[in-house]
Amino acid sequence: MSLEARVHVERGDFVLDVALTVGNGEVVAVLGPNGAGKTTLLRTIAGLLPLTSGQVVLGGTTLDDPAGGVRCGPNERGIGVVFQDYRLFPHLSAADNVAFGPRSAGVPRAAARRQAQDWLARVGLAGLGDRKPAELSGGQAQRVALARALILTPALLLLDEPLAALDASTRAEVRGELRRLLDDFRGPAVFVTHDALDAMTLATRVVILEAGRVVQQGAPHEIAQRPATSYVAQLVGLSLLRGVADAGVLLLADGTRVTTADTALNGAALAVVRPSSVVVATEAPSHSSVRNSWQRAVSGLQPLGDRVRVSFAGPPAVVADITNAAVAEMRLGVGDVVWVSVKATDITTYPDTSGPTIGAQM
Amino acid sequence: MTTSATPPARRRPLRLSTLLGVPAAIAVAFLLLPLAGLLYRAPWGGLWPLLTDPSVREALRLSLFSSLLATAVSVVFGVPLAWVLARLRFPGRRVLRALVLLPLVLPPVVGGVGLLYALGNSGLLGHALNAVGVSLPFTTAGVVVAETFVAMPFLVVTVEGALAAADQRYDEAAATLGASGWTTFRRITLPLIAPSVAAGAVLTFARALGEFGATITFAGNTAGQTRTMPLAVYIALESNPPAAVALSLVLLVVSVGILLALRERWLRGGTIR
Repeated sequence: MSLEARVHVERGDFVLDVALTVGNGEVVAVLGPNGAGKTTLLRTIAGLLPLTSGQVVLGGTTLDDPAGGVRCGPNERGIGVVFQDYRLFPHLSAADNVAFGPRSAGVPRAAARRQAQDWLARVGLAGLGDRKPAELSGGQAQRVALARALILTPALLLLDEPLAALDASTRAEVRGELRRLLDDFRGPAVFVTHDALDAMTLATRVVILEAGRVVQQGAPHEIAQRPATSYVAQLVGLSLLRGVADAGVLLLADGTRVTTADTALNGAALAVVRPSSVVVATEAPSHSSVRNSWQRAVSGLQPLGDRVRVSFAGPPAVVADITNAAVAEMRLGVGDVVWVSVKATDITTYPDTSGPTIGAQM
Repeated sequence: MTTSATPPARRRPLRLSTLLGVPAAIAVAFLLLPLAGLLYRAPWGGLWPLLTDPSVREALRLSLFSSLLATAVSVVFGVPLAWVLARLRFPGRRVLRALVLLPLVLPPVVGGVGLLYALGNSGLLGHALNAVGVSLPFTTAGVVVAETFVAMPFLVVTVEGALAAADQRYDEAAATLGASGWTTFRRITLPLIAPSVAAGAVLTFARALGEFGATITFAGNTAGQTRTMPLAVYIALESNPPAAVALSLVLLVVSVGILLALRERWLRGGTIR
């Protein structure tokens, strides 16, 4: 069983065009900003939305092929879906929710109930089968939704923002639980999220979707280290610079020259800078090893708990994370002109393979 | 614009609550007055003999029987119609909806005349019905037909509203769990709108119970066959006014019961769900 999907959907001005292949045991996170088309992608694969063109093939069976006149309904696909809002049937108990799939498939009542109890136990909800969805916490409801989908041993598991509806305290716990269930699941799994941490911790592969297109995909650590768009860079807490590398200098589109340590890299390149490595000074650095310094006005000060994120007017688009004490000592305020410095060795450069047409703008 | 100068003292304007409260009180009095009239003229002492009179019992039995049957027919055919109107998209849907709901505003007498020329012995389908040995006018079956015609739209409107508002996200979830359309309708959609079906049925029953115009036009006024409670009240008012009041009290009690049954939906304020 593996999923091979070429999804092309046009809805008004919005175009979603994604090719996605997911193998057995793979867990793919589709990560992207709101409106990128993540949920549309999932709903199309599930058969809840029609394809404009393309194909959805699961385990060698064509489920959707508008050109070939094939269209399986969502109830004929054998695809498990966990919705963002879970959609537990409010009039049925947790056990009856889980038993709904087997019952619809013709399993006798008693047997379906037994299976449901087994699954509730597997997701850690033994004894809660008689509760109505309204009597479950968010985390419990999510596990019922998972059990309800997994009981049918689906050929593919789709999860829409599986953790988005949970509060921060239960989120970490449910993430661990979800990870365990996904590890046990043998088929391909795809989940969409706008949370980088969910993507990095749960997925074996991350696909970045922006404005209906895949802009980058790879293993979580690759994405985290070498983001291809400023959206991804921002998600993983980095500043992204895009330019042309030539013998240790990255020339940005705005004309700024950034000295980097990698002298071997040439051509279209990206560079990331960790905000905590950016130095802010009130005077020009002299007799220093710092290779990059710009005089810039402070355009924003954003408290981040133990640190303050300082942003600057004008290129390059770097931000600096400095301590509260440093802000106080320098009496830093918006509009103050300061020296912004980055050591060449603190800049990580890599080739820009995303092509010049892909922007981070929505 | 300055606000420093205090405006000259004026006659205190009537408060809005007074302005609207007076006509509201008149409206309340007007609506409750007939009830007071009924209770005032009620032959309290001789009520029991009046109500146990065979003709009264017959009318009551006939009314309950025909209204319940009309309600059942309305549910069996009205729920599917409501589903078609709420869930299917087809050209002419809005026109169909308007036509189907026409009996809500149509004078019942007109409905009765229409039924006569559609299902009557010389009507549109009269010959066909006669051919299979069915003659509806001036029979108890005709009463049920007249009541269904007038009352079914109440069920359709209520259930259609519920279906339109019902969350189709659950239908989607059921589909991804392998449920067919019929299974989804039976196990998800219908249970979720069950309260509205019940409320629609109660409304339909109430309307059928009070039906007069279409019934007397299409089914006539034969004691024991087509003389339902409202017809009996009307007849009794000429010949035996205390009996008319007694019958009216029965209908009043039923109406109050219906109001109580619907209290969750109506008496909490707000709109019909």
